[in-house]
Amino acid sequence: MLINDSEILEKFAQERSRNEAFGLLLQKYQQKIYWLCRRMVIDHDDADDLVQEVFIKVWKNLDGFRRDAQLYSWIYRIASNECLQFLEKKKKRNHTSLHDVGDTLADNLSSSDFLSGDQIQRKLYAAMETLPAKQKLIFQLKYFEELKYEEISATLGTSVGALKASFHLAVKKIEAHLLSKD
Amino acid sequence: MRTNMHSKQWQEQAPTLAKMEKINPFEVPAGYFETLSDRISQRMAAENTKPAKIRIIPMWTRYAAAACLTCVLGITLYLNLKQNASATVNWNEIPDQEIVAYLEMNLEDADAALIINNLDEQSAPGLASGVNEQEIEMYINQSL
Repeated sequence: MLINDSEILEKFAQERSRNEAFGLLLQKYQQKIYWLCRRMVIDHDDADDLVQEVFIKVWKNLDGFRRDAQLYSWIYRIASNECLQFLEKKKKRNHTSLHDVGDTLADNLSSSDFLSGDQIQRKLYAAMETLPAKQKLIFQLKYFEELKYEEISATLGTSVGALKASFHLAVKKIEAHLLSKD
Repeated sequence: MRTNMHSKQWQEQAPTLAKMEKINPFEVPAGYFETLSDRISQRMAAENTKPAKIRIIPMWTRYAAAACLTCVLGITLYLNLKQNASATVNWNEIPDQEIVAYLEMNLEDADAALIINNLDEQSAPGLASGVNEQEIEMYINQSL
């Protein structure tokens, strides 16, 4: 059974149980954060780097974490920012648009990274790569993580209305892609 | 309740997506998650044990530089304030057209919720006329 966030924070507040608390936090969130990063950047090595960066930032800043926010929202926010920054850097490095970064990531889907899943699953991930980075993130948090709009809003600092609009458009684009013949 | 309604709404609009099983098609190297915590801990330890940077410039020179900078900024600010103190704005001299143009350029807090709620032309005829869906999407992506 996983420990709840308030217990983790209480343990973290005490010097002697700080490492134990962080171990519990890692145990609770590492897979969720890895999969969030993996779906965003596709490549395993990139996702691995990102997940490590995220938890190092969590470790360094957990002392200053304000208890009025939810711990998972805060961790997801760090992970989301890391992923968006990574994609932005990749865009600058390759001198390509974020849309083209999506094309590159979509190409990765045909590599050995993507070993299972049928044709329709490939199409879903290829469709996700056509979305702008932040819209893709919103789609992920809603569709895969099944977070409520209010939770996504707390994570990304975007209004619920804008999130609904973005998700609605993402769903429309993905549906059209799934129904397309190529 | 509203969230459920929205959820049903997208499922109706995207039946193919709604019917799809949420399978994770990615694979990770064997034992990856079992060792991830350890690798993160090792990296944290490595970062914590990094030697502190050696200070080549003595501390007093930094304080001296900061004091000089404060003086320069203070004098510049004082002179600037003195120069502008006599300048007054006569609102009557500004043409109405310029005020309208300024407001049009700076009013940008339209709520995206309003847009999505009115995307359906039938429920709000005329509201979105002259604005195509691509333009609406561009606006939403920019406002995220």
